[in-house]
Amino acid sequence: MKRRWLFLLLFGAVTWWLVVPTRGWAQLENAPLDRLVELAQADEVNDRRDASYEIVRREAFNAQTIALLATLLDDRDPQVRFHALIGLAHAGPQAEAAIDKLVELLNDRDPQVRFRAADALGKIGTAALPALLQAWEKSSSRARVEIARAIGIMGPSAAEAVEVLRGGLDHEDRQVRSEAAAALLSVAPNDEAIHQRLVAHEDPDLRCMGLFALAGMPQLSPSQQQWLWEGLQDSEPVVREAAIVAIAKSRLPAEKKEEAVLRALKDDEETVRLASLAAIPKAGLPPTELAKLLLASLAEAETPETAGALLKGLVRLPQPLSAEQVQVVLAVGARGQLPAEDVVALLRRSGPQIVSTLLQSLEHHPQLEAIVAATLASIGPPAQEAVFNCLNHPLGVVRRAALLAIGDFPGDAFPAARIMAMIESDSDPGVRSAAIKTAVERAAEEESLRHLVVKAVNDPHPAVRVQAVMALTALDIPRDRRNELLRARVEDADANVRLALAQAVTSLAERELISPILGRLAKDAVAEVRLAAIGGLSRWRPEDVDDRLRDLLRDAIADESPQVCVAAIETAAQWQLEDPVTVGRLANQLRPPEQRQVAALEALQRLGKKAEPALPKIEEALADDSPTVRSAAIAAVAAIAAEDVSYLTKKLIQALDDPAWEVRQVAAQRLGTLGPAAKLAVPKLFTMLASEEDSDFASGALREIDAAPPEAIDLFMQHLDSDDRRTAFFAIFLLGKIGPDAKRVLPELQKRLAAAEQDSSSSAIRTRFIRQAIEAIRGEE
Amino acid sequence: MYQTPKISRRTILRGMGVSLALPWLESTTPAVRAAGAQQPPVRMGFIFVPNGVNVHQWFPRKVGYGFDMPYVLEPLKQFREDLLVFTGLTHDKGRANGDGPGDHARAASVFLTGAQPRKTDGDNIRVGVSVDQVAAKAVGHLTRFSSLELGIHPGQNAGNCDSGYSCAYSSNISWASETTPMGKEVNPRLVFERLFAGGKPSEVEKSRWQRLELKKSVLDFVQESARRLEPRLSYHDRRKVDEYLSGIREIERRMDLATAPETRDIEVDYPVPDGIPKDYREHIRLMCDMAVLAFQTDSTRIFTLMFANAGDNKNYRHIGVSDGHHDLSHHRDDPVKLEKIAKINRFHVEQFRYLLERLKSVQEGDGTLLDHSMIVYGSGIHDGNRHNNENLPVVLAGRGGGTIDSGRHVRYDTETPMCNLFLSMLERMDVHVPYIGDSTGKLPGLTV
Repeated sequence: MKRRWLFLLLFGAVTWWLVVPTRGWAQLENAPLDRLVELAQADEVNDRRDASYEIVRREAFNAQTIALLATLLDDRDPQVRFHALIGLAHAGPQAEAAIDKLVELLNDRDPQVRFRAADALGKIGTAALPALLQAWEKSSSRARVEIARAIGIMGPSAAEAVEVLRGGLDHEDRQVRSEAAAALLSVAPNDEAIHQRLVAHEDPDLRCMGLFALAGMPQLSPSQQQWLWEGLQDSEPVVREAAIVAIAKSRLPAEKKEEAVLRALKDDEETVRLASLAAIPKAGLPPTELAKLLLASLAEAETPETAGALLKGLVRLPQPLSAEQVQVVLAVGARGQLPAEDVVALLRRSGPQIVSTLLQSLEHHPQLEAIVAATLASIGPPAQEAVFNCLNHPLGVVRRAALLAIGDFPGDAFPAARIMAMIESDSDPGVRSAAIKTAVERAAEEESLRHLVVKAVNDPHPAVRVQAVMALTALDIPRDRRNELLRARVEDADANVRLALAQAVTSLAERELISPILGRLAKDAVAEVRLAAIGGLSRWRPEDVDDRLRDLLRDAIADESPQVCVAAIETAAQWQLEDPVTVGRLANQLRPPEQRQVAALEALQRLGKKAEPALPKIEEALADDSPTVRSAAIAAVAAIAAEDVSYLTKKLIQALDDPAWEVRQVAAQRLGTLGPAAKLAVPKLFTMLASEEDSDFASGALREIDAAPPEAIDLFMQHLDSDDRRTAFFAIFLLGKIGPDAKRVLPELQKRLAAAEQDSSSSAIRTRFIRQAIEAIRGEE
Repeated sequence: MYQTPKISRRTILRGMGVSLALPWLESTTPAVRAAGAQQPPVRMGFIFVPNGVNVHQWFPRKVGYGFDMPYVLEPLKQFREDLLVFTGLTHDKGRANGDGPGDHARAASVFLTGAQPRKTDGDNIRVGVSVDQVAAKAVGHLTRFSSLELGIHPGQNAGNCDSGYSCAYSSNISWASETTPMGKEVNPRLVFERLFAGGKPSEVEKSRWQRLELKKSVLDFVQESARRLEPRLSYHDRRKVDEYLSGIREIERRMDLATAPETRDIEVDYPVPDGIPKDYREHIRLMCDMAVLAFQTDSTRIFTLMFANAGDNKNYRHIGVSDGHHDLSHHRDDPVKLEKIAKINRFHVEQFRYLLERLKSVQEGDGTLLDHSMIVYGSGIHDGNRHNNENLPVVLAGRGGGTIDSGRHVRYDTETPMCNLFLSMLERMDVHVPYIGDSTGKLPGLTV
C-alpha cells in the first residue's frame, strides 16, 4: 500500500514537472489576447517580455494593444521597450496614438531607441508629421537626424516637410545634413531645385547624393545634364566617382556616356578609374562600339595608369578581339604600360586564331616574349601544335616564347628530344637558357639533361650559365661535381650568374659549401648579389655562425644599399648580436631612407638597455618627418629607457600630441605599461577619449595606469555628464582613483548617487561606479 | 531558333549507390533557353567566426571604390572587386538588453536571426528564424537539399555554455524555427556522402563500404555513365566535366589523407571523432569544398558554415599563436595580444579566400559561381575586448547574379540593422518577406 502511494506521488511529481510550465516562463503561443495584455503588465519581467513578444509576433494590433505598447515604451526592461517599438513600427498607421511618446524618444540617450522610434514614426505616416515638424525646431542634432529619417520614410506624402528639410542642409552636423538630404530626395525625388542645391553643396557627400538622384530621373533637363557633366570635373575624387556611375545609369545619350567613361578612365585617381570600370556594364553601351573606343584611347594613352584602366575596361567586355585589335593591344603592351596578366586575360579569349598574330608581334616587339608565351600557354591544347612548330622558327625570340609556353602547357606532350638539342646547339643564348629552364621543369629525370646542364655551366653566354647554375641544385647531379661547379662560379664575370649562385646555394644544406660562397658574395660589388647572400645567411641559426660571419654581418649593416642594410639588420637580430659595435653600427643607420631607419630603430628597441648609447640619435628620430619613423623611435625609447620612468614619461606624454595616430597609439600603450607611475599622463589621455581614433587605446592606457593626479579633478568633474558614455564613466572612475585628495567633490558625487538610485532607468553600472568612487575617496576600499 | 537539347540540366551520373550531379554546362543551355529558364540561380552562404576581430587591422579607411585593405583583409586583395566591405552594421539583439553576461552565445544566435535569445540553459530556448532558413523555406524545394549547415567543432545543444545561455546558442547560427536549431555537420565525409550517395539503401551501403575499405572512388561507380555522356558534350564541356571529376577525386584523396590514423595531430584541443580531419585548416577547406560542390551541382543554394563555435578558445599554434583565441580577444589594448588576434583573424580570412578561389574557378553561364553567389563572412562581435555588437566586421562576397555592385567599402550610420542586409539578400533570391529579425527595411547601397 505504502509503495502504491509512493508510486502515485512520484508519478504526480513527474507529471507536474513535465506538464506544468516552468515558473517564470509563460507558454503563451495559444494564450488569448486578453491574457497577453494582462501578462504584459505583470511584475515579473519574463512575463512582460514573453507577452509583449507574442503580441508583436501575432501582429495583434488594435486600440487596446496599441495603447499598451505605448505604455510599454516606458518599461524598465530594454527588451520590453524594444518589443513595443518594433510592434508600433509594424502596426504602421494604426499606431497613431503613440506619436507623442515616440517623438519624445527621438532624443533618448540610447541610439537604438532613437533609431527605432524614428522608424515607427515614419511608418505611422503623415499623421506624425505635425509633431515631427514642431519637434524639429527645439531638437538637438541627434534628434534632428532621426526626425529627418522618419520623414524620409514617408516619401512624397510628406511634401509639407520640404522647407524644414532644406534648412537641415546647412546644419553644422554632418549627419543632420546627410539625413535631411536623403529625406528630401525621398519626399521630392523630381524636384530640380533640390537637385541643384545638392550638386552645388559644399559637402561632397551631398553632391554625391545629388548626382545619384539624377541617375534615376526618367528625363533630364539640359541643366541636369550639365550638372552630371560638371560632377566629372569635381575637385573631390569621391564626387567624380559618383558622377561617372550616375552618368552610366542615367538617360544621357550613348555618345555622352562613352565620352564620360573614357574621360573617367583617364582620371588621375585610381578610385575614379575603378568606378568607371564598374560603370561600364551599367551604361548599356553596345560592346563592339565601346571596344573600338577603348582601343582607340588605349593607343593614345599617355600614362601606364590610364592604359591599365582602359585595358581592364576591355577585359570586362564579353567579346574576343579580332587579330587587328590584338595588334593594337600588343603595340601598347610593347611600351611596357600594361600589366601582363591583364593582357593575357584579354588575349586568350580570342583563342587559337590569334597564334600567328602573337608570334608575328615578336618580330617587331621582342620584349613581348613573356606575354606571348603566357598567352599561348593559357590558350592551351588548341595552340599546342602551332607552338611546337615554333621551336624551329628562324627568330630566336619566337623560339624562346614557344619554350616558355611549353613549360606551362597542361598534359604530358613534350618534345624532349628537340629541346635537348636546343640546349646543346641553338645559336641564340636566350633560347639555350629558356630550353634549360623548360627542360628542368618538365623532364628533370632525363640523364641527357644532367649532362647538358653540367656542360652549360661553362657556356660563353651568361644567360645560359645562370639557368645552368639554377638547374644544378634542381637535378640529381653527383654532389662533389656539383659543388665544384658551384664554387667555380663565385668569380664569374657576370653579376647575374653570381646572383643565381647565391640563390641556388641557399636551397642547399651543406654549411661547409655555403659559408665560404656566401661569405664572398656578401662582399660582392653588386648590391643585389650582396642582398641575396645576406638573405641566404639569414636562414642560419645563431649557434651555427662563426666570428668571421658575425664580423661580415656587422660590416653589412653599414652597407650603402638600404636593402642590404635592412637585411643585415634583420639577420643580426636573428643571430642575437648585442655587442657595442653592433649598437654603434645600428645607430649610424638612423638616416634616410625610412626603411633603413625603421629597421635600425626596431633592432635597437629589441636590444633594450644595451642600446642606451644610441639614445641621443634616437631622440633626433622623434622629430622625423615620417610618422612611421617617429612611432618606431618612441617605441625604441620606451624599451631603452624603461628604468628611467621620469624621463620616459615626459617623452611619452610629448608623443601624445603627435599628429600621427600610430605614434599616439604607441605612446599611450607604453604609458599604460608604466602603471601608476605614469599618472601625469592621465589628463591628456582622458581628453583623447573624445576622439574616435584615439579612444580605444587611450582607455586601455587609463585602465592600465589605474591612477590619476589631483590636478585633474576639475577636468573630470566637467565631463561627468558627457554625451559620450566612455568619457562619462572614466570621469567617475578616475575621480575615485585620485582618492582622498578628491574629497571636495564628495557632495556632488553623493548627490548624483542618490539621484541614480532613485531613477530606475539609470544604468546600474554607472551607479556602481559612483558608489565605488565615493568609497575610494573616503578611503573605504 | 530552338535547338534540340543535348543533355538535360538535371542529368546525373549514376552508379551503384552513387548519384553524381553535374555542374553547369553549355550543352544544357539550348534546351534551358528554349524552355525559357533563367540564368544560373543566385546562391547564398554565411560564414561565422567567433570572438570579434582586431578592429584596427580590419576596417578600411577609404570609403567607396579602391578601398585599402588592412592586414587582416589583405589576403582578399585579388578579390577586392568582388567584395563589399561594410562599416556600421549592428546587431542590437546581441547586446545584453537587461540580461547581463553571455555575449558570445548571443553573438552566435543573433548572427543570422537578428533576434534576442531567451536567456536559459534549459530546454525552453527561443531566438528567431535565421535568414538561411527563411530562404530555405521559400526556395529549398527547388534543390535536393533545402540547405546545408556545416561546421568544424561539433558543440552541444544542451547545457550551459555561456553565463546561463544554452550551448545551443553558441553552437548554431542556423535556426529553422524560434526553438529549433539546425544541427550542423562537422564531418566532411558525411557531407560528401549526402551529396553523392543515391539509389537503394542496400546499394548505398555497399558502395560506401567499398569506397572506405577498398579505397574506391565515387568515380569508379559512375564510369559507365560518364562514358555514355561524353559524346553528347562539347569540347569545353568535356574539359569542364573532366576538371569537375578530377576535383572530386582530389577531394576524396584529401579526405582520406586528413583522416588517416597516422595523420599527425596538429591542432587537437577538443575530442576528434573518427573520420574528422585533425588539421584545422584542412578541415575548413574540405567543408568549403563541400559547399562549392553543393552549389556547383545545384544540390543546394544555401549553406552556413561556422569556422568555430562562439567563444571558442582553441589555440593556433600552427601560425605561431599558442594562446587561446577567446583569452586573447580580451586584449585590454595589449599590442602583443592585438597582434596575435590579427594573425588569427587573418588565418580565418585566408580560408575564406580559399572558398572564394574555388567559387571563382567554376565557370557558369556568362560568369562564375562567385558571380552568382552572395557569401557573408563575419562575426557577431565587433571587438572581443569590448563585447560590443555595433559596427560588426562583415564582408559580402559575390555579385548576386549581377544585382550587387561590388568592389566597394560601404559605410552606414552605426545602428543600421544587419538584418536589413539579410532582407536585401532574400529579395535577390526572390524571397519577399516584410521583415526579418529587427530589420527596418532593405539595405541601400548594395547597388550604386
